[in-house]
Amino acid sequence: MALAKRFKQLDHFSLETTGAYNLLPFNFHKLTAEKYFCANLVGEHLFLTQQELKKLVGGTLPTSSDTYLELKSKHFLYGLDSDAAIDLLALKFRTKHHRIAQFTALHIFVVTLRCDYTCQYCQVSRRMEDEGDFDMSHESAEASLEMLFLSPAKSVKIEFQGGEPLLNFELIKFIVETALAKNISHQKNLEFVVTTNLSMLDEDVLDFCEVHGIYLSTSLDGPKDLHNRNRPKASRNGYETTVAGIRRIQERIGPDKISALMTTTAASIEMPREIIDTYVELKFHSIFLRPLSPYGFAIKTKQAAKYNSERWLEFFKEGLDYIIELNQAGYFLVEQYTRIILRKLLTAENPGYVDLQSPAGIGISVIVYNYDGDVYASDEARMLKEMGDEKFRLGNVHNDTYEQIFSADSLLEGLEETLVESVPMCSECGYQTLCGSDPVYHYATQGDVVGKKPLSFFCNKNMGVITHILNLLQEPKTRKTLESWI
Amino acid sequence: MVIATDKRHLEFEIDEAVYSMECIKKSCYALMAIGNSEISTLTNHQILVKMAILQEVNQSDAEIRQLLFDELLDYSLRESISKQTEGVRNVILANAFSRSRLIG
Amino acid sequence: MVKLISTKNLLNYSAENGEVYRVSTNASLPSVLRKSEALIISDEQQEIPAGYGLVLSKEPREGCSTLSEDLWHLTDGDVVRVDANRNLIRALYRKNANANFLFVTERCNSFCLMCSQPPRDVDDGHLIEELISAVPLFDPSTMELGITGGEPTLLGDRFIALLRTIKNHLPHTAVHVLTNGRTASHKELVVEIAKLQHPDLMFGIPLYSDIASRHDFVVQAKGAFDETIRGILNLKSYSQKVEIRVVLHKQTYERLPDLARFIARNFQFVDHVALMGLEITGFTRANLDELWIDPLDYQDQLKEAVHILTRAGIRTSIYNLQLCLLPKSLWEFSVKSISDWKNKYYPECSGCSERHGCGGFFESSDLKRSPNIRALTFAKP
Repeated sequence: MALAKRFKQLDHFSLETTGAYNLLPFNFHKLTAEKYFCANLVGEHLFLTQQELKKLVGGTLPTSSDTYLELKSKHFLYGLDSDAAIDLLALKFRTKHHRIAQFTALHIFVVTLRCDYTCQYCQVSRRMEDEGDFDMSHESAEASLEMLFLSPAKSVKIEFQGGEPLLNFELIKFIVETALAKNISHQKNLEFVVTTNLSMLDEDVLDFCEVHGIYLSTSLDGPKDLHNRNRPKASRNGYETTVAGIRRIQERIGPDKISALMTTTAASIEMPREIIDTYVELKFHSIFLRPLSPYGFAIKTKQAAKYNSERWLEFFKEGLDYIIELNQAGYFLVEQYTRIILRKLLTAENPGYVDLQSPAGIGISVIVYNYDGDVYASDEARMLKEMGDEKFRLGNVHNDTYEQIFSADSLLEGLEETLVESVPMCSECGYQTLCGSDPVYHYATQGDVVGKKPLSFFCNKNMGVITHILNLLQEPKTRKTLESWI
Repeated sequence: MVIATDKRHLEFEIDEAVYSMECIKKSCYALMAIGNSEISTLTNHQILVKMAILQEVNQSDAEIRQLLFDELLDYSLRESISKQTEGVRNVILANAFSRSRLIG
Repeated sequence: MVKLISTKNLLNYSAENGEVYRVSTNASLPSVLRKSEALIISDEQQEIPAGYGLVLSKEPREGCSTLSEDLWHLTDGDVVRVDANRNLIRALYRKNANANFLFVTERCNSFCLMCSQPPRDVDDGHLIEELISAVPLFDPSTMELGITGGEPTLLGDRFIALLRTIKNHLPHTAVHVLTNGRTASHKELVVEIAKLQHPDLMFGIPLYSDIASRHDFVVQAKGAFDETIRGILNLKSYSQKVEIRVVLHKQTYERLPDLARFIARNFQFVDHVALMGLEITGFTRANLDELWIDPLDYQDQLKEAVHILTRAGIRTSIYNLQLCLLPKSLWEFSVKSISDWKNKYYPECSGCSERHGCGGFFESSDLKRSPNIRALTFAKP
């Protein structure tokens, strides 16, 4: 190299010529015999062959190789000439977890258990309309709001659940107005969401939602026959009502104010494309291909047993492939779960999805105020109670203080004992930074909060989804589509 | 322990000098959806793994053997990584949780 | 008594503190205001008014000093420094310039291959003292001041004093410090900076690679990468604004996307990233063979780097590159940045439809520039 005299060449500055290097902590997951997915403490990742991995761990990876440089840049190792990696990893680790300091951001108010539908997989035992005593009282709502404002979170989302929340619309109005009044002194960012089957949608509801910028979320399982089969309504017109409601909201208060979720049943699993088409016809730009959770009526009607993780993964893959095809044909449609994984994989942020985080989202990210004033660590914890197990009931807004509720034994145990960094298999899993812990799910299905991951649908599902996404990202056009979702 | 005679059984002898007991336990744990394992020590550093294969498993004996040895290799690599990085990992985490003023 | 005043280049000075004056063309200033002013007298003025700190004339004239032709552009509000013997004069500040840089020292603790201001290990402490006395004469409506060198932070508490003076006399002026950030790896300096509570202060810090040894090679200092990174982290931990700067040349273009990814993952809190074309001056000329690359040849890497940074939400700009050498998708990031007194255009540029949006070239591009410069002809909508 023809540098002027006073200047020194590259190898003067590089101690790499000695061949020595130090490993930084990382995990890996074998995809094929020739391809290992490797991720460091904060989710930066790359792929190695088995040979490269063995050499890397054995201390014999050639420091002149491009692989070595990539490992160094992405903080899988550091050389003798630089250890700034350690400071940077510490900072990145803090960044990934900084949301914890915000504490509980999602507050769910179960305003009633009454419902006019009889969905097959409902996780809440339904009480028919007009049965008394299943509505939340004003006193309980007030006390719950008091507790809500003790949360340090600067941005709070209040979600109304049920039964069918609009059957207790008066209380929803009360809660929104009271929350806004209390918030004058707290100055939090408040967001409101009503989950509803839309059968009770009327002008009053629409007006109120418009004035307060309230979001609505509904269930749309797919085309008419499927939807009605999964979600029967006495008057047998569930699908028409839902679709009419969706269109009405889109027109009246805006398409961004209504979203839909689907739940997969044994019947759904045969028709991913038709389900997605239903969403496209209704001009939705996001869909969440969810599995069935094992709570409530789902167990009673044997839905949960009906499909195992492999069959669901086939459904998911076919659905996602079709969604990508639609994107490439010009229709922007995001699959929500994929987007969460993509954010964890490709950005430095933490998307903050309560069902996929470690420490688990129970209590520290989400809290549920039930109609009777009881407080639950998550919506699933409430469903577990409906099945007869109160393990994750943390207390009652009328009898217990904030401190008592948030230091309840079952909550602390659920959090402390299930950290992915510590539990068997998760602690050494290559997908650790992309996944999370779900103590309530594992307790419900296996009887302990940690669960044996090889037998866990949660684990199998996540690993299957992540592996599929990693494979999709290998193809440049697909990669471009997926990156546009972040 | 009585083993039902209509179940498939596989036996593996593993040299403890090559794969540690920790590795072997972890590998068997990871394969619990394939079979239930019993681990015992023989003489001269040999470990015996008796795996009772679950009924619904379709993989052949050879495929299961491959799965086990794949896990053993992976866990032994992980063991080495963990040993080499335990110190620096503690430094990073201590640094991350210390009362630094960094606003992430 | 006639003296000839002239200036050779920006660095002609003697090592003693000079005198600073603000330029005025008003021969009738109230007496109380005259002492700090240097009057440029017009030919029509019969008498030389008394009381001015310095009187300058374009044509030789009895009783005042003569201003050489290259300084005839000096005008009201500019601030000059005159050396002790009064035969050298230099502009410290031009009121109407689109950028004013305060040059505080030639000393530096790095030795970059492409340094546009080659360091000298000299005792030039008087430079910053002159600037500290000059700042109160600057116009308070000045939008921005740059501080550069050498390495400004080597001046320690005098550097802090300069920042303080600027904050006190020019409270609405943004300050942009060009530094390698290495001294900021020691918290003490950063604490002092933070104590100032300057309302609008940014540190522009170069980072040339995601790999320590490569960065150290470009800046010719072992351990510089780690110090710079720690400096950035310290500045950020005390809430200072930080910009990362990358000069694009043969030693930095190949791993540019990797550097972008590194910045996006490790410094996503950074306030700005500046990607800069090479100026053929200083050490660049000596190392030209190992530095020069036609910008057209690194368009792919530049595109990818900008894509990675903007996808991570990081504000990114491209400086000192001409529009004909940039892919159109990057034009929105290109800043017309060459100082108005430095830029020029070439015959190849005549008839170019994009001239108004293009910063043109440095004078130094005479020595080396891309053979692919050409006039663009895009129809106007």
